[in-house]
Order: sequence, then structure tokens, then C-alpha cells
Amino acid sequence: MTERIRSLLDAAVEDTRPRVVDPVSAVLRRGRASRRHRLAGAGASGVVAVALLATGGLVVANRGGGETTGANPSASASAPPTLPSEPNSRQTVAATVTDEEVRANGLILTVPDGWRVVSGQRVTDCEVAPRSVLVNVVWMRNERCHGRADIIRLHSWFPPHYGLSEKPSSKVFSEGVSELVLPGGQPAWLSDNDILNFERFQRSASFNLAVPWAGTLLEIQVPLKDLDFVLGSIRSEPVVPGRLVLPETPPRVTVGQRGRDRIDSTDAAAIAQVLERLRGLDQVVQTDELPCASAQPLTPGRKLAAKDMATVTLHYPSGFAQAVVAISSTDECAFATSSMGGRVRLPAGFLAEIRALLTDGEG
Amino acid sequence: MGKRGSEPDSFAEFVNARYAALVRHGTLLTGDHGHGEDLAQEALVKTYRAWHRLHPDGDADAYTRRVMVRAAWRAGRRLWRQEVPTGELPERRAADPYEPRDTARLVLTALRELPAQQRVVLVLRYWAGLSEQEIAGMLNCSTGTVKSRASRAISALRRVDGPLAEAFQVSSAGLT
Repeated sequence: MTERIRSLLDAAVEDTRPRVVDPVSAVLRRGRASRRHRLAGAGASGVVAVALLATGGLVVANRGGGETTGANPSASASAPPTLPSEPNSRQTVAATVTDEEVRANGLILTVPDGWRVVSGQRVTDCEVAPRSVLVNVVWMRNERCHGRADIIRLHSWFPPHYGLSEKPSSKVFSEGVSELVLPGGQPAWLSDNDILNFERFQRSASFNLAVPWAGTLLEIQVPLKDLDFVLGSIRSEPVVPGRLVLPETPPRVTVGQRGRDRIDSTDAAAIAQVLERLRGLDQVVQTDELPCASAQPLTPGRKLAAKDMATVTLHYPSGFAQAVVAISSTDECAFATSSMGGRVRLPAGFLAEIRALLTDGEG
Repeated sequence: MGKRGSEPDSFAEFVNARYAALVRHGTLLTGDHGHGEDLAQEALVKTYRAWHRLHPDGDADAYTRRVMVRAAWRAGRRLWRQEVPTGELPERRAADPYEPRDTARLVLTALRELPAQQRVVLVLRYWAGLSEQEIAGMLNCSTGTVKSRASRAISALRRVDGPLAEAFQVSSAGLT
């Protein structure tokens, strides 16, 4: 009997895997939240700042991930995964690979029937077998064979960043972001360029699908007839919807919007106001809610949640981008998604307000 | 406090090495993956606060598990006091398409149906392999309490209309 019970209990947690990718950050964040609540409860608002300063050393263990706010600290199971955010030299994504599926930071790719997984190898186009899922491979391009195979390639994704040296010529083209909601409730992003390509695909489709909350980019190259099937094999672990997760104190913010000049601000007061506005957004978009139901279908089976979104990029002191908040601001469809997690509805005129805050700050 | 600067690094190493195991422990103690991970994180916050005592000479893993067990045990006591009898079952949430299936799901369902204190004792006795005396010491209760909780938990799991009835039938058949 004892052995039977033990084996049943073992079986119950055999496949249990943590939902949080970076548990150290999650624990330290929870500790800070707990301490803040205690201090706030004691009415010691002046002491809060001291406590935050005292816990500043904890960031050392935060893998450079920076502090974040916005997630519900009491609901770790539902909080989006916290990712190591500074680009690493290997550009690999932490993935668990089996013959049936690939899991990376809450992203799940069911390996389509007839496909195989290649992981962590150095391959050339000529060596890749048709119908391969490539995970963290070093891929050597070879023009002779380029584009022959159907592939899904996973590797790490980091928010695009803009060098400060570009600032004097800020009147540059800004590409928009389109959002797709994966089964499970998490978003995936496509660039405007990729969206335009969708209209031109003839026999095969080739595009990048960024999964920001998982720090993963999927390069997908499949016959057009298999596109919906392959897209259907990508899903997220279920996550309870939440408010925007944001960095604590980014020293620099840029706003990119198609057809508008890019705004680049290092004004601390203006940035603080922008963060306050973003953190104050509390109308959470629900999992099964497609905020823009009128949007054009991406494929016969897939509809975009939003198209041509503006981006608010929040930077590390080092200059790398830490997070991107994509903002859809059309009248019928106003919502924002953070690359660190969370999706909320926006009040009317929100993007204009953010632009004004940052522009005034620079002036 | 001379080691203060190295504490975050050593704590991070500890968490990264033990987190998955602690989440499994929490899942069994609560009967739920999400609550289990929550429990593990709460306990790790306390472990961090005690890190200067636990590292490098203490047993941080045992400390964290003890915090988890006591929290799960106390939660049972709180819930019992607040329990409100109702004639109707609460509405069940929709089936989660990604939830583990079969044995794992059945066992977790059965664990959730147990009162928290019975669940804690069951996990410590049959999964962690602790003796009744060790459990009593950890939970600051009598061995009689441990025995009775364990006995009731086993009876509930073997209930003919319970989710694990079939599993125990298989077990009984295998023994004969």
C-alpha cells in the first residue's frame, strides 16, 4: 500500500514543471512586494523608500533582468514568466525538447506530424532535412540550398533597440507591430513587413513570429497549404490575464509609430509620468477576448488582434532595450501589450498623451 | 555581515538548483500546481531572509520545505475555521486543455478533495518518507494526530466513489 501511494504521488508531479522561468527574480520581487505591503500597512510611507534602497542589492542576483512592476505579486501561477532580458552572447533560448514538443519559457510548440527536431547543432541549409524544427542551431546560410526546406527555427528574441547616436536624425522610418493571440492567451508579434508579405505569399510562407514574453523568435518557412496547421501547433501555457509588466526605472524611452517622427527621451520626470500612466491602466484584456474583432484575417483560420501598433521601448542604462509596450490606438481598438507580459485596454487619446509627455520633457 | 555581497549569488544558485523540486513538493502539499508554486515562492522569500543563517552551513532545502509544510498545515487550520457548509458544489472551472491527464490529474484531484491537514500528513508520510514522530515534531502536534490524519486520508483516497478508486482496485488486484 505504501509503495502504491508513493508511486501515485510520484506520478502526480512527474511532469510538473515550474511556470516561472526565472524563479530568482520572481522570489526577490515577491519579497520586495511583501516588504512594501508590510511597511505600507504600518503607515510608514517614508520608510518604504529606505526599504527599497536597502533591497537594491538584491538586483545583483537578478541576472541583469532589472526590476519590474505591474504583475500581481500574489498570483505567481498566473504571472507571465520573467526573462533574462539583456542579450546574451550565445543568443540561445532555454528550451526543453522532446520528439513531440518544444517548450521554451511558457511557449509550447507541438512538433507537427512528420517533422523532426534538431537541437543545438551547427547546420547549413544544405544539411537541413525538410520539415525540421531547429532549436538553438547555428545556421550557416548557403545560397545554393537556401529556402528549400520547410523549417521552424526557434532562437532567442530581444526587443529591438535604437542607438543614441541616431538621435539627431530621429525622423526615421518606424515599423509597426501586429499582434496575434495564441491558444493559451498570450500574444505573438509580427512586423509590418511580414504582414505585407502575407498578402504576397504564393506557394510558401516565410515570416518571423516574435513571442516576446517567452524571449523567443520563431522563423517559419512552410508551404502555404500547411500554414494554418503549423500556426495551430504553437500555443502558450495558460496565463491569467494581468496588467502591464514594466521595468522599474528605465533611463530612456523611445516611441516609434508608423508615419510619425520617432521620439527619444531621457527626461526622468517625463519617463516617470509615462510609467505612472502605463501602470495605472487596469482594464485587463481577457484571454478569450480578441480586442479588434473587425481586424482582417491573417490566414483563413487566424485573425489579428491588432495591426500596425506603435511601440514604446524602455531601455536599460546600458542602452539595450529591456521592454516594448505595443500600443494599438485606433478608436475601435485601443489596447496595449507589454513584451514582459500583460495586456490592457486604453482610454481615448492615450498614445497622443504619451507622445506629448515625452515631447514636452525633451523640450 | 562580511559575506553580505555574496549572498544574492549563492541564494540564486540555491533557488535555480532546487526550485523545480520545491514546486513539485508544493504541488503535492496543495494539490494544485499554481498554489504549489505560490507556496514554494513564499517559502523561498523566508529562506532569503534567513540566508545569512542557512548559508553555507545550514540546510536551506530542509528549511524551505519545513516552511512550506507549516504554511500548508496552517492554511488547513484557517480554512477549517472559515468553512461554510453548502448544499451545492461550487461551479467547476472549464477543463484546462493543457492540464496533465490521466493518473497525474486524478491524483491531484483526489489530493485537492482531502482536507489540507490530511493532505500534508499523507505527503510527508508516504512521499517524503518521514516517520510519524518526525512529522509530529515538524508540525508541533501529537503522533496520535498524525496517525488519525494519515488514516483518514488513506480511507478517503480508497473511497469507492473517489477519483482514485480504480487505481486502488488495480493495486489490490496486483497484490493478490
